[in-house]
Amino acid sequence: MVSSAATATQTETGSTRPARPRRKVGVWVALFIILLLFALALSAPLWADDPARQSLMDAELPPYPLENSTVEHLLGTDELGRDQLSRILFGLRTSMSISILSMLLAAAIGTSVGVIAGFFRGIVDEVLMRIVDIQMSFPAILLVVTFVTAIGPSFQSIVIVLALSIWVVFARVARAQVLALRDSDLVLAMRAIGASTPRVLLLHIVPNIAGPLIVIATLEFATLIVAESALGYLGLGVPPPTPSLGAMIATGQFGLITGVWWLVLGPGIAMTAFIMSINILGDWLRDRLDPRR
Amino acid sequence: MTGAGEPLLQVRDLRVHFGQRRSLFSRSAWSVRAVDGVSLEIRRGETLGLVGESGCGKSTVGRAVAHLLKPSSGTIRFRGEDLGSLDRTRRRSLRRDLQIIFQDPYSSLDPRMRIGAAIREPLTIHGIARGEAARLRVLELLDSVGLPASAVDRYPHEFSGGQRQRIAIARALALEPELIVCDEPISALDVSVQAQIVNLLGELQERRQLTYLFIAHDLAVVRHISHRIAVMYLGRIVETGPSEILCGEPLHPYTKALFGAVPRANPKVERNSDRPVIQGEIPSPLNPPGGCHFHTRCPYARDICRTRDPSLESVGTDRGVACHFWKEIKANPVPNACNRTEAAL
Repeated sequence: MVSSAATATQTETGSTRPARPRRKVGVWVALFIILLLFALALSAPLWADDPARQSLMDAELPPYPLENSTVEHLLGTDELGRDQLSRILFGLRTSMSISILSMLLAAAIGTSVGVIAGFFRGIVDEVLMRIVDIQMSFPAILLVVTFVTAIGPSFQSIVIVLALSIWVVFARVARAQVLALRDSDLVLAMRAIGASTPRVLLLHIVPNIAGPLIVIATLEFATLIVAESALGYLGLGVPPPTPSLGAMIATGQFGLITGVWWLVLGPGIAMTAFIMSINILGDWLRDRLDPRR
Repeated sequence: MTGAGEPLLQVRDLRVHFGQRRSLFSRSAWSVRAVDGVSLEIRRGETLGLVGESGCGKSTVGRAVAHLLKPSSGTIRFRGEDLGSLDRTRRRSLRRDLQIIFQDPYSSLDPRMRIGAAIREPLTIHGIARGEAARLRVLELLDSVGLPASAVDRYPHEFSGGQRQRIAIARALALEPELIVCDEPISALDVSVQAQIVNLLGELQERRQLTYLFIAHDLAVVRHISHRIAVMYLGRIVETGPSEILCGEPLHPYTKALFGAVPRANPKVERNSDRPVIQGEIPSPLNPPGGCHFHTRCPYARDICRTRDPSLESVGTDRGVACHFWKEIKANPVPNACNRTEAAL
């Protein structure tokens, strides 16, 4: 508090704008990491090893340039001689595609529900929002684990279950935004020129509430990657041989005792860097889109 | 100016009540009688000024007329047709001829839509013009409200309040309406810009034979622009009449007080005037006073005013007043002594 007041007075001499946290550099680094990881993961099938190819002769090779390492396996190999780098990249691919798909699905469901509830109010609103409240009262990860166990882990089932675990966030935010807009002159003006309800909703309401939803989507994307990894770690992720970062950490964690530390470190660093970067970007977006800043 | 024959718009005993009944999820019931039996008529090519304090229901009347909310009871006839009884398609085509301009041009324009697209939207919705024809029509509309063609590709936030109101007017004009409800179109604007918009509205009325329902709380502006004036108080019309006659000799105590509230330039005249002053706030429409709604603030109020609700009585031609004692007040305009001293304080 004290420091922010101090910086505010300092800037008075220079610019008229209130002091704003300087984190441009961090945002650029985060953006770079995200793009780099996306590019590597997307292009992996073109140049990286087959992540499923085993070679027991090359098992547990350390990362290059340590002793016994080879240039072919830059990040070393796992206990079955599979290339760590390619497994990390393919794991990221799975993680990204699951997270993006479930994020989009959740955004679509949540926004629709929120917009409908907020715009039509009444009994529709009551019913939809009580459903949201009920779901909100359970820890998301508990729901996810329960449902994935019940349905059985597969790419599709994980996408759907993860989407169903977070759509409520979109619904709440969308509804709150719509409530502020529905009684505005904008909606009345649109009605006066004869706009139908779908037209008002899709062309005027949804674009005007998109800002906060994009921020939510970004932040939820990071949460989904964690959730997907957690499922993998618990053995409820996409089934092998598809690599999963969570599963890699789960099987590699005993390597920390036996000295095969790179089995955990590689996927751990990749995941941490990715999630942190997304969060930094999300926070930055939130501040940028906040009209009060 | 005013054409004879059937009025363009005819409102009969309009009531709009907002409220909530007891239900499963809400225990409290309440109801606001925002509009409580309003009748008015507007002739073709005429401007009817609707004035009153904020909260008196004048905007609600405008919205009901523009068909943006459903009246609780009463009828609104536009060109002789009852808006409430029409089927969808008929109502849609009638709506084209009945547009509205809002008080705040900041909130009635979509901040994410370019001006060109905003003005084009009514054309698209009603299938009036598309492609090149629509583009030309948009330019023509912009020109008629005094905006440059370059406005097409810009966003609302790039314009000032007055310019935005011009954009809103252009959008309303796109459908070539006959009646435009102007819901306090200048209250949110700077004084210097107000005159421009008022003049623009006047100009457009002459050129396009428009009819206005002009809602405002600024009497000077309403007097300037209106042919006839209706004064509203707490959901009811207390007086109507041709604007010069009504302004020259207000009959209802509330109208008198309203005109008394217009500031005068000469302080000497100001000090010596014995105009009535109304005390206190407008009562809540949640719980309006019985009888004449104005009796709680009226310097002339007597017992009958607390129990009996005066109806709008015709006075001469084209004039009406809702007061039990308007004749007495006209003959002897000094309110009784006790209220007088209170008012002087």
